[in-house]
Amino acid sequence: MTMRPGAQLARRPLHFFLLADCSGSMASAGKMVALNNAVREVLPHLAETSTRNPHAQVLVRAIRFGTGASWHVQTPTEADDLAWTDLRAGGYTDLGAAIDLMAGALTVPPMEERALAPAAVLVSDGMPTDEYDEALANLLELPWGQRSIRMAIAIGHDADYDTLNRFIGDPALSPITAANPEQLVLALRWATTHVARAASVVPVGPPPAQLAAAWTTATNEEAVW
Amino acid sequence: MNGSPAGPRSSTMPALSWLVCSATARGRAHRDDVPNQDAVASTEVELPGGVRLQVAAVSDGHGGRRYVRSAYGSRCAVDLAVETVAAACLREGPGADLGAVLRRQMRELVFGWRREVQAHHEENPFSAEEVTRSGGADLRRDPVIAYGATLLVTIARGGEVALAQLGDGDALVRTHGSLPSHPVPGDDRLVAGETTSLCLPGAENDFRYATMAGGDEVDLVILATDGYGNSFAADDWWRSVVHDLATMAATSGAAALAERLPGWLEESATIGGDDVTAAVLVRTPMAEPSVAPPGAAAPPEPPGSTSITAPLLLASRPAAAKPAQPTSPAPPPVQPQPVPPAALATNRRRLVWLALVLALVAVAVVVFLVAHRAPPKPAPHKPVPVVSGATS
Repeated sequence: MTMRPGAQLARRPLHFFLLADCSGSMASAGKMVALNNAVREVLPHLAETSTRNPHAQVLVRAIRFGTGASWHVQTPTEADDLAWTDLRAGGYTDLGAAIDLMAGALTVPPMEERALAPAAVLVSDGMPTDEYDEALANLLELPWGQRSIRMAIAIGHDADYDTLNRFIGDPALSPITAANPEQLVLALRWATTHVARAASVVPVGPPPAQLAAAWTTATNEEAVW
Repeated sequence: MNGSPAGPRSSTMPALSWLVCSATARGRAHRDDVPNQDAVASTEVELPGGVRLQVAAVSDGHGGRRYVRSAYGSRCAVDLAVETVAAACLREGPGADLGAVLRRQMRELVFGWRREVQAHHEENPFSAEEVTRSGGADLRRDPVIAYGATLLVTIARGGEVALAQLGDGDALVRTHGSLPSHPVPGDDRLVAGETTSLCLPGAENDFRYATMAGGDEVDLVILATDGYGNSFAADDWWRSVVHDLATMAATSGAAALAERLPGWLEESATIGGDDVTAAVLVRTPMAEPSVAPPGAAAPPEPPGSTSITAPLLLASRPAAAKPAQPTSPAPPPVQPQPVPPAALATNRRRLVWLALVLALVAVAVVVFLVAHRAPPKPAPHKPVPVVSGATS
């Protein structure tokens, strides 16, 4: 026998969750259109992050939340196999329901013993309308919830930064603000790459200066939101 | 590879000996400034009366940012384990209860390990670089935590094996010449990369144990850090690993296995990203496949452990790059062992059975095809000639 003993070797799964605010306010000023476009632009970059990582296979799921929450992409899917269907806006901002849905996917099973830390990016333009505190606490009670790498993007300056900070749960990180569609693409691209690489322990750096400028009011770019 | 011939079991039975091979590979996902945090050690003990036994230990230093000295912690753990267990076996003699030896020594080891790493810290306070690397963790609050590591230990004597495990990783055996087994009880707390650890209070109560008696005919033992198992796609990877390693040892000899083990572990470290370390103990001669006694055949995974109440350590283990550390000193080369005649006879019998089965399958296929062939078309009807005027 000359072959390696044992079964097939494989990269470890890295489960990535996008939590997308689909409340009624997202229908205004082209925010929902911009988010859908941003996701489509970012998926190839996420696919490249996965392809270039010899240890981690990034598998994408998406949760939409408005009035309640539901799976938009329920089956863990490789980014380059994912055909994105547009999200639609309407309803409240039930972030807690979205967190509960994600928490349900982080129990054992279905989480694999060999999985890497899960990664999640929350995109929201407003304040939660349900009791998300309890949902977040329940998520952090789970071993995989505790280990998850989380990031948040605020669409416009009306988002609840306190909520977004609590979702991130890392004092070293702050939510990224996107004030226009171009910034949203940049923000989503950086956030998804950041969490995916952090979860697979590839060294990550700070967001690019162009993006950091979005956090301040002094910017030469047009603030749409 | 270390070898240890044990005393003969009877005047007509060949003497049992154990060979140990080990290897370690640094995880490819690690940052450049972090070394391989796994360690492995083994030793052979010669007892009065010609009885010899093998002791081996594997340890996995935690990879989280605050465990800045876990490479030292794991090295200390395996060296201490092998040294103290070997010394205990010498004291207690050839008839020692291996399971009892491990239980006593693991309790003492935890305290010895803590003393040693505390002394190391006192002589070597944490540097500014280490504090930075820890991400601002308060390393001085409990310096022992920075050295945190898991530990797997085994003693093999004749056909008997005892195992002890603290934390994650895998202790695998083959029994009765064919049955892979994961005999050490699980620990329900080991989930999402969390593990119990030498650095936790009460670690002496967190060990899990298993003992295999001579009747179990153990002929292969594998101790591996969790990076190895995590590199495989299938949950039951360990069954095929045990089978394949045993087959290789039986057909090509343990030396061939020792030669290839480092390469295999490198592959796992590359794909899985984590440090990978394994110690493989092979008995010579290996056991013939036999009918296992009731309760021993294809044992299911043991139930999760127990009443252990020590707090969990969130040993989140992002793999930090670590320059490879040398493994234990290379053992002297061992001549490949010839395949025993009994093994050859077994292989011939298996080939004959396989040929018979294939022949039966071929016959069955032919019969099926013949039975289901399309019926021949009826011949066209020809009118019967009639003689005119004839009457019945």
